[in-house]
Amino acid sequence: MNKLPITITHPRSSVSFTAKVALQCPAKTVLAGLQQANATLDGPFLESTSPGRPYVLSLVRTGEAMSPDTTMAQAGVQANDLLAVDQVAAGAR
Amino acid sequence: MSAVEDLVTDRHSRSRLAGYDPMLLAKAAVLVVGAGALGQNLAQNLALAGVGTIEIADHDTFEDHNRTRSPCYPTAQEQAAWGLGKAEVVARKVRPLMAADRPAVRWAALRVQEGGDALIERADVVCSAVDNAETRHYLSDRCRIHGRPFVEGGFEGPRVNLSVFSADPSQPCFRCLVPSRAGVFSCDRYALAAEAQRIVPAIQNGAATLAAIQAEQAIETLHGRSGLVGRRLFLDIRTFRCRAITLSLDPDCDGIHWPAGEHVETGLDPSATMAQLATAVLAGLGECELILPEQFVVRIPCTGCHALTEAMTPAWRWEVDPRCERCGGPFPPSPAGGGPFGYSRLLVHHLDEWDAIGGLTLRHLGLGDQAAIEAEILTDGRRAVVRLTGAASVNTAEEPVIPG
Repeated sequence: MNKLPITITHPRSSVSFTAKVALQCPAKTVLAGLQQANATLDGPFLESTSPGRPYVLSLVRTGEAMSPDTTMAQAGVQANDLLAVDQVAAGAR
Repeated sequence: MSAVEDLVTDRHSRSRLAGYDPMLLAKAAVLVVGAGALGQNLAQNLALAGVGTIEIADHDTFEDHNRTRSPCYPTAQEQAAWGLGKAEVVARKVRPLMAADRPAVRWAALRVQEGGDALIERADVVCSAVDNAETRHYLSDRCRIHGRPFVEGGFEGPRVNLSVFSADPSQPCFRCLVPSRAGVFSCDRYALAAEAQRIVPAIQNGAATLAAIQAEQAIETLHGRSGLVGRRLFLDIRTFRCRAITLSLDPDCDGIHWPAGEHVETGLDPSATMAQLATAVLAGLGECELILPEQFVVRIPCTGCHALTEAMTPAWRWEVDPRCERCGGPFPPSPAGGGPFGYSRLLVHHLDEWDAIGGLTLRHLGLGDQAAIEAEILTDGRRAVVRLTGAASVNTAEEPVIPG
């Protein structure tokens, strides 16, 4: 399977994470992988999310968010692209 | 009168210089859903900016811990006069700030779902200041059906988010951004869940920052020029990390992405029964499927004793007041998509299938005053909107009442 090196930024810190991702991999799979215990040598890259506060993956070069089922290929991700993770905030009170 | 004199005597001179049209704002109506930290700051900003009509909906009451982020927290005298209901207190405290020449502020001390669609239809722009996804989903759908722009924000401590969602069904909606309905929380339970996860839901500086941006985007939307339509702003007021991304329309989104269709006026108000509505819909549209604004939960398994518990209530009301007569719960979040536990869609040609709810009033089913119900016509798949009548009960603070 064709894989591309990409760098992913954390939603709340300056930490980034470089990985190889398959072109056919959808955004939701990338985000799920980043929350797994073995995502990095130090554990999960992202904390487990809670209902109503999903992570959103976007391609920094275009500034466009990826829908959960959008694949890296569909989003136009290229080798060495920077992907940003942001998290929807849900509080108001 | 000279330009200098204008600046001294014209209340709106600075607003004009800033690009606002005071006449346009004076005629505008903005619905603020939620009167917590965000809603209070937002309502104040809209009032000072000259918005003519502000409506505030919230069922909640002030508690002492709200003081740290509540610019409208009532004094002891105000509490004695008005009580602790957030919607009323905020409406009364915002009223003297309104800079429009003939301002009106109204409040509805209820959950917005209870108020029906009248609240949304009356507004030119709907602002969400709620802290749960379920109500945001509800507002997103209602705004689409009624063709109202939706200015939605949320914050957690210093991190603030905001989007403006167009009324255009071909554009992304809030459900495209936050798709899952399963596992959503009522706002009453959100704070507890957030605390358990060590999330800081609210600080005043986050609320005030977000409210400023949200008010500005509501005003820009009223002027027809918001730069945040279909985008999401992420801002951290401690680290200054700031990004705005373009949202994508999710092809699998279950929000409202169909063009406005035929409107069928039933002449029924929410006190009519489901069977009466079915009869009216059959006469007006033929066989079709009604899509309820909120799932109606019939039965739900208790995770404590595993008994199927009769709920017979809209999902939002169940989330607020889950109960098991045998053991008291706890319960799972209400199931998405209906199935054996409830109804999200009602086939109008299978009246006998819903004997259990045919005699229930439409209000019991969660359909409020002037509710608009989506209908999918079975013969050709067209969408239509079925309308109820009724008048939402709101209160008016036309004249400020200053206690003491």
